Amino acid sequence: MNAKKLNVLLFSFDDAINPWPYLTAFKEPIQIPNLQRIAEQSTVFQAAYSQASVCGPSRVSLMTGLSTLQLGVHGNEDDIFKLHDPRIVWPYTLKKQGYFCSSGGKVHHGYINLDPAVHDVLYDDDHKFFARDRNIPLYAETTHFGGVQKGIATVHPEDDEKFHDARAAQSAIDFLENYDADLPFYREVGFYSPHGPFYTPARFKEMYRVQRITRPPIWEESYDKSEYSEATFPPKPAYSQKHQLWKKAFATISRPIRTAITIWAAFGMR
Amino acid sequence: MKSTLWEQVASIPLIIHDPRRKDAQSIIDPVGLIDIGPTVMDMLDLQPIDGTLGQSLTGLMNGNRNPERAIPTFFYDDVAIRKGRYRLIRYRDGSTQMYDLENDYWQVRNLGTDHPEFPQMFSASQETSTSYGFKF
Repeated sequence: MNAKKLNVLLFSFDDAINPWPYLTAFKEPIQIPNLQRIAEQSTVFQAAYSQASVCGPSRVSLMTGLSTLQLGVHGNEDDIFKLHDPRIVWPYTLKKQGYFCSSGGKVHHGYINLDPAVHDVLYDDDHKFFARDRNIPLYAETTHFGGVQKGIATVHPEDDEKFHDARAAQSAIDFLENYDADLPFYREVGFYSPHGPFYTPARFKEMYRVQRITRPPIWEESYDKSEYSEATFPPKPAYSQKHQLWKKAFATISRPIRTAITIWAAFGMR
Repeated sequence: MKSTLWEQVASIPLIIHDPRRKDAQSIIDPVGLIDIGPTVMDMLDLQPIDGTLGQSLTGLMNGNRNPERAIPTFFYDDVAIRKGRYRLIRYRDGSTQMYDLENDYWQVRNLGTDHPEFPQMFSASQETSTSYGFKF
């Protein structure tokens, strides 16, 4: 392999927030030891921002280096690949430069249903499909811990591999272990977590003592309200003091990173 | 909650691992996901992306600073910028919220339009929005 040419591995997490300000913000610590281990060998951007506050436009800005307004992608209903030639995304440049381009999981908005014509322009191998987690209770024994979307969890460790992200990770591991071409590669790995439905193996929910999760004291004080934002984004009852359902969603941040680390290991990293 | 423009939604995790560089470093200057493409192009010695509004992050990774760059987040006709220690949200009805993130990370105290930093934040928001293709 040309020593000067670097391989590129791009991971994306769906709906993940910047975890660093919150590790102890809720008293019960958020546990991301694997991400911390990666961070200890990497550059961490503490103040990185998405260019849109919803998924589709944010992803197009990431994948093109252009603004959502330049592209005309304002909401999830706007499909970049209906509005533009697929060659507008920067990974196409890598393909043109001789990189072997491959993808698995959700990186582009709507990847599951990506038009084959678009896929074939951007990638050198087949489109990979991994079922989303919503149907896991149909093919694995589950229990539930309560909370947002009932906190459904699989009971048996051997069912871990049935999750979307485990399949996406395994596909990336297989790619890394088997790739032997001379060309450098560009590989995308798209995790659905921590996006809903917040299903995880049970041990990720058992990591957290729900009773210890505490609202930051400032939440109990009043805040300066904007008439516009209160009307447009009304507070959700699930997140109120009374319901506290949000606490049960904690596990969803630990799990995708545990999954990501399996790829990290396959890449020869410690 | 998704689609709002506060820090808790707009601030996302970003880690770049370059195997040639083993040391940990933490960058506090604001950056955007729009910078990833330009950074990859730069690291691979490829031509910059035509018309990009992003910037390569290799400079910051090599110790340069850019603390006053305004980074926008849009939701239709609402726009927020992070610049320096402040966050300014400008809603489509013209109303604004400005916060000091150093002292108020949860953004409960709107500094208001009379705050001495409001005019520079407001014009930065206008300029950034315009360069991104949005006029308000």
